[in-house]
Amino acid sequence: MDATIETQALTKRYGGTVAVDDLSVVVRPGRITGFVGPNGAGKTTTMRLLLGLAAPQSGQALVAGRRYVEIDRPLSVVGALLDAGAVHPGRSGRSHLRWIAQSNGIARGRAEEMLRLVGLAGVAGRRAGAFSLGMRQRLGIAAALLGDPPILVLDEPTIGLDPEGIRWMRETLRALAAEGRTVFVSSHLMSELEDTADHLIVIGKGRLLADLSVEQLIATASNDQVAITTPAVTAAMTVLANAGATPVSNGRDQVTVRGLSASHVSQLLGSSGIVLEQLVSTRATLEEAYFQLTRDEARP
Amino acid sequence: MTATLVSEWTKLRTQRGALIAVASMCVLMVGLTALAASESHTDAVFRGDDDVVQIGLAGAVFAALAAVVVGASAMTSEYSTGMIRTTLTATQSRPRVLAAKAAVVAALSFPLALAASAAAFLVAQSLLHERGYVAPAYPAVPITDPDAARAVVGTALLLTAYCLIALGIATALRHAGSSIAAGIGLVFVPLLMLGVFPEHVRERVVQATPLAGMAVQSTTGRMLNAFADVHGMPIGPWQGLGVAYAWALGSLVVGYLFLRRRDA
Repeated sequence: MDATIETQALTKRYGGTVAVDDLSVVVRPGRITGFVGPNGAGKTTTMRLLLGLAAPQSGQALVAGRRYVEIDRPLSVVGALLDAGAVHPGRSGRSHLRWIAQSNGIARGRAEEMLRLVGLAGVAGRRAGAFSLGMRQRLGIAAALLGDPPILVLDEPTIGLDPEGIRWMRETLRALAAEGRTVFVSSHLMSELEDTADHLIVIGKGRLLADLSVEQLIATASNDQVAITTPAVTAAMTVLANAGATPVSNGRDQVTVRGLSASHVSQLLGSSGIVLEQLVSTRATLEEAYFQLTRDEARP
Repeated sequence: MTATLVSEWTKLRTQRGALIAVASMCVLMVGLTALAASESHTDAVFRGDDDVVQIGLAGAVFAALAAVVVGASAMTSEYSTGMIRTTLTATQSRPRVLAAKAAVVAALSFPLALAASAAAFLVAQSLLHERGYVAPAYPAVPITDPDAARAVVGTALLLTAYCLIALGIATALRHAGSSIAAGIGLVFVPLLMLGVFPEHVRERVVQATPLAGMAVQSTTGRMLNAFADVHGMPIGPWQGLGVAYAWALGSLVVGYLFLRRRDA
């Protein structure tokens, strides 16, 4: 089966607001594709369009080469986790998985197997309303995996999780991608995907901003930054500005500057007789690269 | 469709709110019928005129309120939890989801409503007997009497119709509060109209609203003497039930039109 997700000029408007704007991307199997953008960028809407929950004004979304509504027994093709809270609080975890399995003719034993896989077998008889958020996220993953689908669509699966839960989710997603599945996972925080995703699709205001690997994104981030600590802030700022840089002071004894290497900064200040108490060179993080990419889009 | 039915059945029987509502429906049916029967009395002037079958099913109008909650909660619990998205990704066909819900709501409520109606009838006949409803004016009416059996089965069918009406309303409105309010309004407004409007309007009310279904309880050629002053039978017993089911069908169709066109 062709386990790719593809959107073709996908467009969704709500009244006058464009939620998804002419979005064309391909999500490939065997890796984790992070789907990032600020809140309100259109990530959830895109996922709902993929799953046939909402209808686009134009363009189309294809999963495994077909429109979602055309797929027979869809849970064996696409597993989705849109909202871990979307569980009836009075129903047990086991009953929740059972009705989902039954809707697609999935064997009863599979629900038990998934409960063991996500570590909920011991509490599966308890009301889901008594589950912690982490347990509900695990239950959501179990539900998404019921049909053993080659494609997974997960909306903010780590939101609200504690560090242990985040680590579990990352390891689970990595294992699923390593099995050759397509893992499409959204987040509004790049840091959540930093150690997880292989590939990134960045959107803002519904438009595609970038579709590249994690390494490529870091490389596009503007230059390294150098932070110095000195008692002579004003003098240091003047020297650096004369060298063509744009230094920024924190108001006390620190100055940061972009566009100059650490050795160049050290040399400039040294030759001007300015005392350096500390000099730290930092590489742009993925978060900063992402911020540069999306900051214009994040503003209303 | 089988898979969807099985799935919806599992959902309904593990949804506590719906189960509490269906239990309440049965309790109201039996309890308020018993109350009505134990407060009934024969009088000299109209001796032989009371409809002991209808008194024996008088709790139906109250049970209908719980039936509204049963039907509405089967759908509103999907929207209040956001579970509707899981439902519609697992079963993409929206008409199939709604049809399966209607089928399982009916499959849960009808047998229980039937048991409750039969129990209410039997309890009421015994209470009425103690209250002086005795032969020759009031010979004992067994539940196997054709008119009595029609009234008992018809009452269960009427309660089921109220469940389905509410399911349709809830599919259109999505929120529990507004759906239940609308469903209860549909039970009570016709009754209130009976108390306010003149005879020719009252006849229209019992012909055209879901209240027409109450005609199925009548065995003396007088409709609704337990609640209001409507003489004669403006509509036949099965026709009346048919009107209630026309409301159920109409409500489900309207619900479907909303479900089909709206994003989930």
